[in-house]
Amino acid sequence: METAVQKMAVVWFFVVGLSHMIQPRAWAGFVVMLRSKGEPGALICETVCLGVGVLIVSFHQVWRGIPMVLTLFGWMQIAKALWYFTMPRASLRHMERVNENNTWLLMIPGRHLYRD
Amino acid sequence: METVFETAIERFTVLSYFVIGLSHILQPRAWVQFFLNLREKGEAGIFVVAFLHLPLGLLIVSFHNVWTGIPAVVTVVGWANVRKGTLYFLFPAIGMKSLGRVRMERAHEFVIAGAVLMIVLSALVAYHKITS
Repeated sequence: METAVQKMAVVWFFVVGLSHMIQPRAWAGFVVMLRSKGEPGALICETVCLGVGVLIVSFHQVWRGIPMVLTLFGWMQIAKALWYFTMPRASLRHMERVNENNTWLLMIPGRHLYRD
Repeated sequence: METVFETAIERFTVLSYFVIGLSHILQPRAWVQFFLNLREKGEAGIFVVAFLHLPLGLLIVSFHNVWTGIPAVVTVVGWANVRKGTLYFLFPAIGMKSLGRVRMERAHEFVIAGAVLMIVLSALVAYHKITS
């Protein structure tokens, strides 16, 4: 079960990370589109975080070695979703930092995801 | 012998595809409008489609790696979703071209897709579950 979640996470991080690196402008457009919807847009973003976090945490409770990074990531996604679900304006402020002129901001997390 | 997870993923796939397939048959124009709205948003809209396909595909292929009999259809569907989600995330222009083919006057194609791909798939796997 843990192996299945790890496999899923590796492919997810690889694809999404690589996509951030080669399509940063498209990601900036995506964030701008969500932001333009106001608080409902922030809720969509946090629903994705909560889904990923809950899936990881429910099926992957490994607290030793390198796989522990994935468990921690899952809990961080849940914490982020909890924070932004209760304070969607904070999420919007975070999104405001992204526009089509500073797409490099999206390439940095992309590189981290890609390497993980 | 299938594991509990494989059976659960088959149930999950059958139920999801049955509901989505039936919706394609009953509400093809709403689906056309949905995709037209996404196309208007450009590459950001393509990412929405990728977000719908990649997680679903990854969930299926990670927990369901069966390559024999009728359940292999579920595995193939999972990989098809992974392929589509990956392509759309990495090369959104492909998704734009694909969504460019969606038109209100061709809404009947959604009925065919719903019936053939989804209802038949769920019927096949459900039949396998009942008979095995």
